[in-house]
Formats: sequence, structure tokens, C-alpha cells
Amino acid sequence: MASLRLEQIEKRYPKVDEPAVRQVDLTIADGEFFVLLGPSGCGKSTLLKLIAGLEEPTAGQIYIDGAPVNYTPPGRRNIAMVFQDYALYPHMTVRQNINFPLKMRRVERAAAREAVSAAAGSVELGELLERPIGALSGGQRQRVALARAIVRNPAAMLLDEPLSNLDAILRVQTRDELLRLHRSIKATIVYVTHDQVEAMTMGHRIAVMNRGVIEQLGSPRAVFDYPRNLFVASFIGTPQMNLIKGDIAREHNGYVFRNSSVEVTLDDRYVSCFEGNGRLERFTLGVRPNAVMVEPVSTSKMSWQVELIEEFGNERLVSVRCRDKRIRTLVPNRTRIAEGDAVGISIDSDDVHIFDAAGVNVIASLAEQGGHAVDGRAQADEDPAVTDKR
Amino acid sequence: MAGDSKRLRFPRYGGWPLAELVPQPAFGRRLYKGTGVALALAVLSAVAVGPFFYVLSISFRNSIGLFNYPPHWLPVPFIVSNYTRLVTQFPFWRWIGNTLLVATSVTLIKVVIDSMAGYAFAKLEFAGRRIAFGVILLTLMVPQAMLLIPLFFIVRDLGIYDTYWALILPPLANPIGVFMLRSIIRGLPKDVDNAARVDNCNEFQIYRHVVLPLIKPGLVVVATITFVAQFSSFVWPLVGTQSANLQVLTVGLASLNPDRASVSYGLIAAASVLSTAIITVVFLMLQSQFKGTSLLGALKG
Repeated sequence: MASLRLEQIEKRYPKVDEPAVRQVDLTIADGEFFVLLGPSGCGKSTLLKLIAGLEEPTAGQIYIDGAPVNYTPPGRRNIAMVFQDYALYPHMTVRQNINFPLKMRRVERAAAREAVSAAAGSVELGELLERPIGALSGGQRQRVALARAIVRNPAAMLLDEPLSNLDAILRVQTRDELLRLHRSIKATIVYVTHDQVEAMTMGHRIAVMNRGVIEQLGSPRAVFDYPRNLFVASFIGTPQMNLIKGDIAREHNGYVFRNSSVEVTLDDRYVSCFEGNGRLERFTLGVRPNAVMVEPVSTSKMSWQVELIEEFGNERLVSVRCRDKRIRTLVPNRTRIAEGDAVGISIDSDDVHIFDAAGVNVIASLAEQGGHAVDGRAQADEDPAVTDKR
Repeated sequence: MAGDSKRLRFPRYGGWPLAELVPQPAFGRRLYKGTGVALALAVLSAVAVGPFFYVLSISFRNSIGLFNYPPHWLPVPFIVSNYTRLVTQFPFWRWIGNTLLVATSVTLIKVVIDSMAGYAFAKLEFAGRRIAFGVILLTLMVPQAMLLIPLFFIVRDLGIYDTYWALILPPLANPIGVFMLRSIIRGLPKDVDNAARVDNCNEFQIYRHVVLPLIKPGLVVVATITFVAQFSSFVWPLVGTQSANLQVLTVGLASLNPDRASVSYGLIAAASVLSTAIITVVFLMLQSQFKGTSLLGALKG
């Protein structure tokens, strides 16, 4: 088991202007389940390949257990990797596939046999060892890829979207198995995914990546509760956060966010953010659909029209419109509401996020400067120490 | 009820049209259709097989009976002296031996070199990769006949004129195998080479343990094409060698009628039959390999 450290990593490809990965500083603790999350093309897979040694960084230094490995070939880094398409050797049986990394390290035959059985057993492949790869289902292939990774007790396991080729039910099942596996072998895991549900449920910490940089790093809770900027805010959470443009105004003792359709009184936390701040224009209010309440139109200042209702089972996702502004809200499934209805909305001011013109969360940026202890959770954010939250 | 009329109505027999509901031609019509196809195939086979049969027939006749009109299809009288003369009076087995030696060597070396080059061009990043591959492709576009004289000088300057090397080395430069294997290797499952790299393989081990087994069908195709081409190649073996004991089959066959006055067609036919038999056997052997491995290819995940 091992820790990983990345220092100012940058990767450029020839003839591409924008670097695939830039200025990535990252420390991954021993035994941590670390998730790299981002949309496709954000550089997360490239970062994984850099750690694996399949790509060479253009700049920066990678350390495994404190030792620089920039010039160590992938096979000598003591890491294992599970690829998105599994990358099994199709001409070999399950046993030969799992045994291959041992064979290439000249592990003594009896010991190898034992290790293969143990690895296969831990992913419940014991009975399929002599099958050819072609005779396996997608889920079984996925487990072969996992077994091949754990068979030699790697210092770290790198998983590149390992669940993306599985169907929905199998994905949830495998997700649980992966977590159990992680707890039993206690390996350091770096897990790449574009699926924020996977990231939230599995990771000790998440790094949200976009266009080659890490936008935010923290525990799933912290990333969800304190999205540092507009990108993270809109990427994390389903249904997506509502983002509403408007201005800030000073009123009585506090501040309000306001535009033609929405007015939200901001709580005391924001006073320090805006105090002495000259420009109070072009802000964005972010509010998750579950923090938007529907109320009778009579009690509300503005009248919103229900445009669309989507059934979610326990809840209904309701899109409402007022002039050119649209908001989506989650309501309990028994709420009596129909498309075309006129309703009012109220926004829970505890659950809003304010982003400035540059798209940065005003509170989170303040917290990072260390000026104000906004919330204990936001501080814990930067603490790499792993506490098993499960 | 109003609700009922809205309900979807499914056909009585349920699901897809049953086979019985699809009109089938009457038996007589089916027979008629089948006969037409059979007749057409028979004519085509006759056109394809006829010449081979005629050569076979000639090889068992003497040359005098050949020019009768209308021509006889069957070898009457039946003689085997063409074959005995071929193997006793001419170094026929030597020609066969030379041909097999050259064709086999070229095939084996070519499969190794081409698959390595194909792997390099498909999977490795190195400076000048595109240019090098472009140059290799360009050589495909140069007519072989144009290369004859330059090749002759090169071979002479290398001091290998009139040796087996002269027969084996030049055909290795044909790029078609590199081209084919490169595209096959590019089509291999994404990341298997990366997986092997993580599993502590060096580039040669990736090639040997992962790529080579996976491209076996492609190797067999390249081997077959190369072997058949070598077996029937004539011009370069004629130019590149001189001595009788280096003659390959094609060159030997051409030497069967040194003076045009007395062409022994029976002899040439006998030699053709034997060489065709050999190449057929080799082809079938390679083909059985191809079938065995194409199944493996289908299991690709």
C-alpha cells in the first residue's frame, strides 16, 4: 500500500494548444479511495495514465511512497490498472489473464497459482478460471480485470471508469463489491469516473476536474455543500442546481439577491462577503431543486407557471417559469400540481450559493483565504487525512 | 365502452408473422429454381476446372496426339513417361526444393519483420513515424519491373548475386504485409498493450505475448499471400541467379524447352501438375490454420 503525490503536473500533447492536464497538485493518502470526477475530455483519464506511467508528464513530478517515479516504467511502479474496456487478453483463459502479471514478474509457479486462486476467489471467479475470455459476460470480464489488478498486491490501483460498460443493476452491485473489496484489501485506489453518483457514493475524497485543472478537491459532502465555483455547482448533484443571474443589494442590515423574478434575503454569513465591496452586480444564485419550495400563488410576490412535470417516483421535478427565468424544483410526489398551474416559489436562504461574476463561490473563496471560519465542514475539506466515513 | 376502443389490438396469432403465413413457392417451382442455380454453377465450374483438367490430361499423353482436331479430353493412350522423364532427366526435385526453401524462408522472415514493423507503426510513438510509413507505402506504387535493373546492381554490389540470398532478400522489401498488419494491430482492443505495459511487459514482450497471438489470422493471410507469390515468382529468380542448381521451379519450367523447335508440352504439363499439387497442399495447410484461428479472433472481447 502506498501514498501518491503529484506536484505541479502538466501534460501537453504536440499540436494541441491547451494542455490536457495543468498544474495538478495532489496528495493521495495510503489506503484512500480517491475519485477523479469530470466530464469527458477533462483530463482525468490522462492524469490516471500519468500516474500509471503510460504517459510522460510534460512538467512536474510524481511520487509513489515518496520516491520519484517519473522515469520508472509502468511495470516497475507497483501499480495496477483496470481499464475502461477491461483490456483483457482475449486469447487467454481467465486463469492465464490473472496470472499474466505474475508471469511477467517471474513469480514462482506454486506461489502464483495460490495468488491467482485467492484473487479469483475474492471477486467470485473461482469456478470460471478455465473459461476463455470470450465466454464471459460483461460483469464477469470486469471482475477478471479486477482480479488481474489485485493479484499482485499493488501499492495502488488505478480504475478508469470501470463500471461504465455495465448495465444499471450490475453497476450498483459492482459498486458495492468494489467498496467491499477496497475495505478488505485496503489498497490505495484512484478511481476515474464521469458519474457523480459513483463519485459521491464511493470516494473518501473527490477531485472535480474540468479542462485539465482540478476545480475542487474535498470530501463528497464538502464538494456537494460548498461547490467552489459554477462548474462544480452545476456538475455535482442531480437534478442539476438552478443557476439564476441577478444582482446583490443592501437592505436594512443585510443583503438580498434580486432580479426581475427572484428575491432572496441572504443570511449573516454573507455580510462579510459584501461589506466594503463596491460592485454588487452580475452575481449568480445557485440553489438545488430540493431547496426550492412551491407555495400557493396567493402568498407569493411573483406568479410562476408550471411548464413541465417529470415523475421521479418519490418526488416530482417541476419546471416553473416566470418571464425569461426558469427554475426547477423537487416536490413530494403527492403535491397537487399540474402543468399550466400558476404557483409561487420560495427559496430556502440557508441552501443558496452565491457566485461572483467570475463564477467563484463567494463564501467558499473566503473560507479558503482563511479569513473566516464559515463552517467546520468547509475547513475539513482540505484535510487529506482519511477517516472512513462508512 | 370508450376505453375499449382505445386499447391496442394485437394480431390473433401474436407477435411476428408466422412462417406459414409467408408465401412459399410451390414444390415444382422450387425444383425448377434449384435446377437453374445448379446448371449455372455447373457451367461456371466447368469453365474454372476445365483448363486444369486439360493440363492434367495433357500430362498423361504424348505431344503428338495433342494437335488432333477435335481435341481429346481424355488421355488415350495413357502414358506416364512425361513424369518419369521430368524426374529422371531434369533436376525437378532440386527445383521444388529450391522453391520451397526460398518461399518458406521469405514467408517466415517476412511474417516476423512485417508484424514487428506493423506493431511499431501501429502502437509506438517515434520521430519520423509518419514519414517512414509514407515512404514504405510509396514503394507499393513503384512497378516491380522498374526495380529489376537497380535491384540487379544492388545485389551484385552486395556480392550476393547468384546465391540463395539473392532469391530471399529482395522479396522481403515488399511492404504489403507491413501495411496489412499495421491496420490489424490498430484494430486490436483498445489498451491491451497498455494493460501489458502495466503488467511489466517490455515492448518485445507485448509484441510476443499479446499482439502476436491476437493477430494470428492476419499473420496467416500474410503468410499465404507471400508464399503463393514467391512460389509463382519468375522474373526476379531468373535475373538474380544464373547457376542451374539455384533454379527455382518457375525458372526450371521455362528451361524445359531450350530450343523452340521441339516443345515438349507433355513435360511442361507434368511439371505444372506437380507444382500445382504442391502449392495446393501448402495452401490448404495454411487455410486450415486460418480457420482454426479465425474462431479465436471472434472471441475477442
